[in-house]
Amino acid sequence: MTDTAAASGTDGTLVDSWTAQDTRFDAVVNELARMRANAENGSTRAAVVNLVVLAAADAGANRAIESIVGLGQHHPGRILVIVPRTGGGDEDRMAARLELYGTRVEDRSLWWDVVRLEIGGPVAAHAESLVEPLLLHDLPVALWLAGGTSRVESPGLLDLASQLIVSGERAASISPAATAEDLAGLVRLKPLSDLAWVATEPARQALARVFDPPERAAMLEGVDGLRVEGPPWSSRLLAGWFCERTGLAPDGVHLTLGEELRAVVDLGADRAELDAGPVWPAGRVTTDTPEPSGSGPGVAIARLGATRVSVSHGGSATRRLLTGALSHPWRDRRYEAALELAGRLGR
Amino acid sequence: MTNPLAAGMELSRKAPPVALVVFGASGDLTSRKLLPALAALSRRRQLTDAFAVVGVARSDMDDQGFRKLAAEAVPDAGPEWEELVKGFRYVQGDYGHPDTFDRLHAVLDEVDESRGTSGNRVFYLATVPEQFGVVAAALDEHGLARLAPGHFGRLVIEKPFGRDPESAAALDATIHAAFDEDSIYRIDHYLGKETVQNVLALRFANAIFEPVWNRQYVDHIQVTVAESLGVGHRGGFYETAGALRDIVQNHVMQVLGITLMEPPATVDAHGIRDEKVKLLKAIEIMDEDQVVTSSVRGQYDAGWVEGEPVIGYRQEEGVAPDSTTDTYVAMRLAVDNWRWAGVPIFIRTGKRLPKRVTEVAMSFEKVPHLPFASALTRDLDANSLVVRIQPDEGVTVGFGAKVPGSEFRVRTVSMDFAYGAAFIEESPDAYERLLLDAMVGDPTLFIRSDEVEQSWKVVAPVLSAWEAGDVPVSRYEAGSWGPRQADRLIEAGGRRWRRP
Repeated sequence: MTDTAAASGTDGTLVDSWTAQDTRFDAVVNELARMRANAENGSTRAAVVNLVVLAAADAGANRAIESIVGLGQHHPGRILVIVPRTGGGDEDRMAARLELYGTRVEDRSLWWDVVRLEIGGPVAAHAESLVEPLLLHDLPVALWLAGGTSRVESPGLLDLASQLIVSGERAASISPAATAEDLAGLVRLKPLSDLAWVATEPARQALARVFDPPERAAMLEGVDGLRVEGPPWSSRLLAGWFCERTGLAPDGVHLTLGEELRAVVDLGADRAELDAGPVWPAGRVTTDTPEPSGSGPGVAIARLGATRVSVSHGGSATRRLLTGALSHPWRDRRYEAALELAGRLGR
Repeated sequence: MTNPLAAGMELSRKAPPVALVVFGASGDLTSRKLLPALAALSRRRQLTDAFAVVGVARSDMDDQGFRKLAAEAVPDAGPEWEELVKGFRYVQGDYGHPDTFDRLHAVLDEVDESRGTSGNRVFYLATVPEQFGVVAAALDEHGLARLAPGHFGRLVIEKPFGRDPESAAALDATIHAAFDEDSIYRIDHYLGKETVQNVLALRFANAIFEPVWNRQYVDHIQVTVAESLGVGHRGGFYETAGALRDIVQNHVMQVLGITLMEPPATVDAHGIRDEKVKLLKAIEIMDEDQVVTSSVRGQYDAGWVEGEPVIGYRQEEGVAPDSTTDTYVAMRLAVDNWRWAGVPIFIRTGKRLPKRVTEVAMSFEKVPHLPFASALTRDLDANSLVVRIQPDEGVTVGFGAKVPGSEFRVRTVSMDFAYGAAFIEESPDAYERLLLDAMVGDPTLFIRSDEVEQSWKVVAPVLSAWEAGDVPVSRYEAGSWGPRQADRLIEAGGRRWRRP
């Protein structure tokens, strides 16, 4: 089935699409070639990264696509979403949805595509055999484990990836300790970007800047304790980072669940306060929580005495966090150190 | 006298008056490649009215049957094709029977008369290679090979050109007994691909590439010819061939020749082919020890490819359960000449790899000093230039660029030239180009006898050592990039295979 809309000059317009409920790899490749042939008439394909999204379930996949489609004009040349198919008796069938998007960047026409494959049965354990031939050559491969971090059914996908992306917050809503263990395992395999870590960056920047002059940096030598309120994983990462940087012992950290990220640094007679606002998923941390797809401006504010530092950012929507993750596809030693401590922090 | 009306115009190439005789006319190659190529030539009006096709095969068929086959092979090809097919003729017979060629002779005389093909013939042998010598000799015996001055008779054959140096030489001797070398057109369809020809343009029409196309700047070269398909129903044939004979001896050697040769004085049949031969002669002939250390032979086991479970090679139809036939080859070659001395050339080809792709990738030396913090350049690879031959034909240059932001972080980005996006003109299929060249009489993109001979000299010691059991067959899972031993071959020098 093909439904073709006229190419449009607006941002992220769906230009062409194709859907099949029971299809084969060859048909997908042929349709992609057809769509590409149509698109390349005077247009350029976005070519920064292949983004492979390993979704947990259909609803999760839709939310994942919704949150990332807008990235096309800045990042992926191709977005591949793999959705496991379970139940219904037709697990062995492959369903496919191909979408071609176009936009104009200055005076150039740019396009990218989204390939969504629903697979079940034995092939689910060999998803890499479908993904690798669909990757755009000579571009990095970012694998977003949107379905969770504990078990990747197709281990071969991890081999394909040059960068892993996870949402530690989503995983930690079930078990922070298990999440720390899972992520530590993934960090050993590939550069890992945790959306929760990206979400805490404005907070870390604000806190760092408020101690920036040498006389205030010296105050960090007298840190007595740290109280962090917020979503379970973001607050642990923030605290882990702070402990690793300042040498504060983990037992000096007190964590409290909350919807927005806040922290108080006890410095004896003084104290520094951080108000970072909502970080994804905005405090509503059950696994059923839809990932917000919109974005809005945000600000992280740190105070120390009369000093007030604010760091503005584009909000905590998944799209922005993904942009941050894709822009930093390398190992982050600070994150790895924070991760190691985050798993050991109690309440 | 030159045509004054043609002055200042680039006239499109057209086939001269000619009868194209296709042996194996009822076969797969004819239906899949030759007839569609002819239809495309006819659509582009590159065939004149003085053109005829005569099919020859054992299949029981008459003229009408052949015309029906041709029409069905290229449905919806347009009125030009329908008109052309009406003149197709067919000769049914055994290639070993003289009567077949008597009747062919008579039909050719008829088409000369009725279509005006002027006694010119191109004989395309779309048959099994065992028939090459038989057909060539029969054509000669019946006065169809060496024609009177002013007429041409050309023989087109496709690989394999022998299965070792001796059989290749024997085949050459048989064919040369009937046709002069100048009239023999050996097809390697890779040479008909636009991207292979574009290597010539890339190298010799640009000032920026050729100066770095040498040992001073190139660290190593990788040639990948990967297929996702297995042997299918060709197991019986493949058992007698293997990847080394099927791909390396011809396609890989030709691609290497074009990519690494010295600049020719002119891009013509002699200029290009002379330089290719010189390059092939510079490839180091391995001794037995080198074969052991510099080659990997592999065979696929069951696995997953393109989302489907696939069986192992030994389970394929027509394959021996204890077969040692190579479905995968990786080799490290050396080119001993001024330009390439010391630059390792890694080649790999295989069946049941993750995807179908053919490319030549040059990896350049790293810069002598990076003036940036090492932590900020950790993701910077060496520069690369990749010529993609199929699919997604084009050229990609990989280079370092500053990542936007306050840090001076540098990472690898790619600049992509895609053939499909850069030209309005449609790329002709390789067979379309090569068929027209054979009819026009331009052998530039065909393989000369001495190229075949030299390619076999490179491959033969490897075959011998493998057949002597010096290199064990390494297993690899279908859907992987080959056996672990191939990784070790390249990793020994601190390099790694690309993931194309």
